[in-house]
Amino acid sequence: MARKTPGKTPPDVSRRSFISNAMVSATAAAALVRTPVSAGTLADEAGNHQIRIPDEFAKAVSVTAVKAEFPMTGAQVFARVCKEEGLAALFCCPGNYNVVNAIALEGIPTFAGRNEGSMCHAADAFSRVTGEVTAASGTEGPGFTNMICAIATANAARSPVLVLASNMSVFTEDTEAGIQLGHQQPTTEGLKKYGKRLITPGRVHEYAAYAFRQLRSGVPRPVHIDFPSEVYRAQFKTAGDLAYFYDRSRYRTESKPHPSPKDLKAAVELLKAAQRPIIVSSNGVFYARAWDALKKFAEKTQIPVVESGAMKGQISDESPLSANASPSALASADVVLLVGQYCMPTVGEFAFGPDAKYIRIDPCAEDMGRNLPIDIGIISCEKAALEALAEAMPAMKHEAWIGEIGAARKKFEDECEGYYKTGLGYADAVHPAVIAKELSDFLYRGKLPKEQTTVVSGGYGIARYTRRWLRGYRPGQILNGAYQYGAIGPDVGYSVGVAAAVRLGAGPQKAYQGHPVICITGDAGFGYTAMEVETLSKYRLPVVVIVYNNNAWGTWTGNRGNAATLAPHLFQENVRYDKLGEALGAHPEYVTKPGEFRPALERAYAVALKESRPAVINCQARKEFWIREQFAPGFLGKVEPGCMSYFH
Amino acid sequence: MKTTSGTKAVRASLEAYASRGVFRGLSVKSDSEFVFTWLTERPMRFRFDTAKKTMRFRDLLPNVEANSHLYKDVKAFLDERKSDELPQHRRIDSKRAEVALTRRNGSVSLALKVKRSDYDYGVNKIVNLVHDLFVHLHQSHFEYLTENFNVSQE
Repeated sequence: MARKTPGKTPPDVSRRSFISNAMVSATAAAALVRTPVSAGTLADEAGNHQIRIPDEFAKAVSVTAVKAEFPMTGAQVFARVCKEEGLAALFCCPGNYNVVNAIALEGIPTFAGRNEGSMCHAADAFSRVTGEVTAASGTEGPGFTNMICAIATANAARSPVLVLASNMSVFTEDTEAGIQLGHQQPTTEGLKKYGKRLITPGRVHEYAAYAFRQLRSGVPRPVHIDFPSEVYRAQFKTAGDLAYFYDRSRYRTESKPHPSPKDLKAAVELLKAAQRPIIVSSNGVFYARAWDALKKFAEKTQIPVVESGAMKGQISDESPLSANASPSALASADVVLLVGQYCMPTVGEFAFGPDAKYIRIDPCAEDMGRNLPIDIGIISCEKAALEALAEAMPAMKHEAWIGEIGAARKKFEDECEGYYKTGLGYADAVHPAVIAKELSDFLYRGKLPKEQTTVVSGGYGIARYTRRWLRGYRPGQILNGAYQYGAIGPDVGYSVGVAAAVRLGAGPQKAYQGHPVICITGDAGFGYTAMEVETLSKYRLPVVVIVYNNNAWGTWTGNRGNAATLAPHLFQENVRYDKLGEALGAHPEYVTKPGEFRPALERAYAVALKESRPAVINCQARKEFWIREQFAPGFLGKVEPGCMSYFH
Repeated sequence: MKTTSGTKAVRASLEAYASRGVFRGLSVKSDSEFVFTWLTERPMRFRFDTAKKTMRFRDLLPNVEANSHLYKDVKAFLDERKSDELPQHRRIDSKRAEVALTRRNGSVSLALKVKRSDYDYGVNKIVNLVHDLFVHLHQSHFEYLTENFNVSQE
């Protein structure tokens, strides 16, 4: 094995080649540039400096991926494993050039944005709507630490995100020689499933295998690998130079745990005896791609399904068995079957009553019984367990129970309709119920097939309205933005990942490839990742970003009694987020009255569809809409699980 | 206090919830008074009056003003629990028990009186009623829970 001297940069690695390579992969793999791009000067004939996409994006389309062969660098060895393991996409900012370039050149779709944190959120989002493993990368020091919130968010959401970062050299460890050296692994302690600073070049393949074994087994969570230069620049002439260079079939297995006959029998007996059983479908059903098994089991046994988790749509809300919008019926359930509920609520956080019995299906025994007491625990892959239950259970009827679910759904929807009518009466600003209802009408009751549009359900106060109206009709249709970690800023970053997934037709997004995406956010949230509108525009990703602009953080109401404590919760009023979007390449809409929202949404969607570019709809609201005494119904609460849930 | 069949039945019912993991840290202060944690971080106090066949969650909701929207809504919610529109398994059968709210020093207590000696029914109904009430508060009075029960504002 030959090594290059630490600190000496190979000629093929530079910031320029990074940008070029990032574009190569993304464009070649997905034909990202749809609009004609021609070479030109900075200004048009009239002397105007228009936003334009660099010519390199079009040129990159013709570049084909190259499978690395020996001799390879450490970065290439790692990238080869990523390719063989089916890494679905990489989101990054400049930095960690050797690894990023190697991954991009392998043909893995690579997207580069404006902030490593946003790109890590994008990777998380891509995973949440496809079930695929994704990667995020940043440079050592600030690039890496910019990703911390996103790593924590992905960890809470149980997303299989591979976090990559360069980290100077082992040679300079602890010296503060140069800049940006830091101990990365302790920084992500508690935020990952597995992490490793690679220090032995010959083991780079072995640790790539460690990473994918963790990402593709059990309950997914982020894996963090940091690369010193000695590893990514190491040269390997043959496979013999690598210790532990095994084929994928040798370093991990696709085998999954199946339910024990004894546990299965006990579960069947409990479910057969139940009068009002219910299934909670969560992350595990999605990642096990068990939605067909879920449907088969639920339909055979006529057991209703309610969803929780970081994504929604495993059960179609069109089905009478969906209990997602039936919150008042949940407390009637006598047996609850939790399937793939990786983030367990504590007693009282789910609306099921104190007499409900619980069966839990989970691939990991270590978590069984945590938080919520169980009556039966089944250690199994969710898909295997649902298939076995469908086989073992007789066909059943629960007509009265399904009737109760339906009545509760009608009550809930009537309540929502009442909020909408009330909201329409507030004429001088756009009430959140108007946005939620009319967006819902547009997506599900207009010209679009109701299962078509993938939605980033973000925001804080606005989300408490929009969640009530959003529905899932197929897997991966709704990304549950604030899920568990409660971050309200990632939304536009999420939309990059979701739009990339839809563009690529990854996983369950395949049938909806190329369609526009909706992103809901608030003015507070938009502030964190708004620059990624430029990323959306650059890649021609058609996302309609709806910004609920109430001039304040959602938390302002708790401080309204004192100007000194209230002021930190307020922004300038009437900020033009639409113009900010326009400056970054998006179509702008500014909505100040209830009647203006639907036409603006239709125009924005048309631009997204026809021009394949983003739009920003700035919905001017007022912060006082959260005060119930002045503007009923005010700030809304929630019931979990179901359409309103985001804690668990 | 002399232990009666009523107190035994009530205690057994409460201990069953504790043994199933629903209540945490159930402590028996006397034959008729119990403290446990459930639904929020705030401990709940449960008293049983044998002579009056009445069980009570004492000071269940603190800081409730008499003329507040919250108090009116909680009373309306309680009335709904007797409604024929509710499924039978969710309803409180007025032939078997009656419930009442009382407010003292700003704190609301919830009481249930069993009409026969059906203590198991009584405990089951008042426990389910408190559960349903907190689900309702989460949905309709979220800010009250954040201010009084340390429920996350986020």
